[in-house]
Amino acid sequence: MARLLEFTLNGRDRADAVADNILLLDYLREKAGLTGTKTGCDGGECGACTVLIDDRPVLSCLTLAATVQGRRIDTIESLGTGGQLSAVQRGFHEKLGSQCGYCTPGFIMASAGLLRKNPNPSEDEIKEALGSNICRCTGYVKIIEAVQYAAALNAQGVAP
Amino acid sequence: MNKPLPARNIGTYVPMIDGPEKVSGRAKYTADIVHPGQLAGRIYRSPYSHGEIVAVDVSEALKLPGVLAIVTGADCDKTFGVLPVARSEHPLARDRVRYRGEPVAAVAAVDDATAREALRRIKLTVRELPAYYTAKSALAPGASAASMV
Repeated sequence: MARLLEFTLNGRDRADAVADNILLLDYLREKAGLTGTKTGCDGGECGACTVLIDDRPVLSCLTLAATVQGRRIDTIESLGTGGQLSAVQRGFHEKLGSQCGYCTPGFIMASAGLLRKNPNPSEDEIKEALGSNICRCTGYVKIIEAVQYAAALNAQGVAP
Repeated sequence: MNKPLPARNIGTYVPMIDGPEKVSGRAKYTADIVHPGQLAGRIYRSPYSHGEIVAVDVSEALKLPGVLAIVTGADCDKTFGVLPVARSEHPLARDRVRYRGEPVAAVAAVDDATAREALRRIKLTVRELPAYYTAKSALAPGASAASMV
């Protein structure tokens, strides 16, 4: 079965015929062509597929596309404006929170979700917010530093 | 004599040249490349920790419409390991499976759903061998070696 799915994707209204059994992750990558959202473990363990649904971080590999009817989805491609990186993107780039980069979009979306809700998180709050994301090359020290730097940039007016 | 230059980068942040692509989602990884008519690949992995391979039966999987090819260890007689510890490795298991998850067969199909269904139709028959789940038991007298380097 397929249904007409209407929702907001990266700030734009979108309507698409979507099969009931397609995952949001596969919809984003294969139908919408947004490959910034990564398929990692394919089973809800690694966080590489994290996107925001109504500003809340969600694992798109465990979400059926059909369930986002009327919701607002933001992917990594929505961040930054006019060719400028967002605060979180700058944090991960400038503070070296990214190496191979495959987990990075998931970490960035989880971090962006955190800063939208809590612009001045403590280190423990950052750790908790990133608890669903796994990085196999950088380790987490630089990643936490990246989010702290992003929070400071955000305080200066750079959108997360 | 070359004079050592002052170390300007030690202790400083040196952002990666491809960092902006990676943090913006624009970086293309192999999994992100899609061509028209591209096939989907899936790997059948051993559910056994250690076993002698008696048979890898792919005949039922090959009958599935949309399956184009299946290769097994029988098709892979060359070792590929680059590192010394891996130089006896084959891309797909041949005589034995040595860990749960070792690749045994690879399927190419018209789409991912078909490739997944093909995996369900592959039948691996093994004679199970002792498996070791701790370093101590693997080193115990009489333990058999998992691989010969």
